[in-house]
Amino acid sequence: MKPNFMQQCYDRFVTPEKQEFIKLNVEIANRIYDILDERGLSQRDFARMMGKTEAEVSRWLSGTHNFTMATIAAINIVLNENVLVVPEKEQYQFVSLMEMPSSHRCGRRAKYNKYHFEKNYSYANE
Amino acid sequence: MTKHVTLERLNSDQKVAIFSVLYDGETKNEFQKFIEKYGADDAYKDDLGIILARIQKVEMDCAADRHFRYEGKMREHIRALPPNIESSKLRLYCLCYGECILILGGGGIKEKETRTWQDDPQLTKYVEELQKIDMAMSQNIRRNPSVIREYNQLMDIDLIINE
Repeated sequence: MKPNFMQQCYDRFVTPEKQEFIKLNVEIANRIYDILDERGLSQRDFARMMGKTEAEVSRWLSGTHNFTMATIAAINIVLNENVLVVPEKEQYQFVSLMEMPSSHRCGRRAKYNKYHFEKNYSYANE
Repeated sequence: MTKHVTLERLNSDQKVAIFSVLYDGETKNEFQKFIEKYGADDAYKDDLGIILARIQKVEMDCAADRHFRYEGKMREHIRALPPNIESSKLRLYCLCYGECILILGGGGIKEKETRTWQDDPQLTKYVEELQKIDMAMSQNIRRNPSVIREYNQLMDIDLIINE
């Protein structure tokens, strides 16, 4: 048994950029799979909706396709869902504030951020 | 004629248990040989990184069919990495069981003029060896289905394969 062999290989050959690239691609593919699954749609249905061949859609869903923004936008439109979500300004402002040391999180601005976040993103606590 | 092989465990405590094939009398498993051969060649380091990044994601996620390319016959469990044919010249052949057991075999370079693995004697050798291991492993799982359920407790697995 060589319980650490895989980790040694990853450390030696997988760059953080490559790891992040595969992670993003697989997660986008998984998200599309989940949406299709929820709606009872097959890959063939999805290919027809997108006006693409089944082989092309299958490649997208394999998680190694280098998606362009144009493809993601077309998928968003066809599925009427956001496949990839970029945080809005208020969200990342609040998150970055929470990451600060507690001494920096006091004051009116912090209170405003907390109030604004809870008001607009209360679903996050549901 | 029969041959003894060991499936050597290469990770622990992950969502997918990873093994490689160690033939009797040898000190290095097939995946180790693959890494040593292509990891030493600058021309293939990038391709090797693509394959390893994919295995890393599979290990954290699951060994679902969509992460691999189908090879061999549909009833067999033989797959290849990477799944997208354009991304790499390197091929690594493997076996998948129940989305939680991944057995890494050998692999090599698939040239442009090579349409399928059968066209290349070296790739054919790797796939045919995995076909024999697949027969023994499938029989093992049929006899003892708990292998799939308790995949994370598995250590090295001994198999007898037909030559």
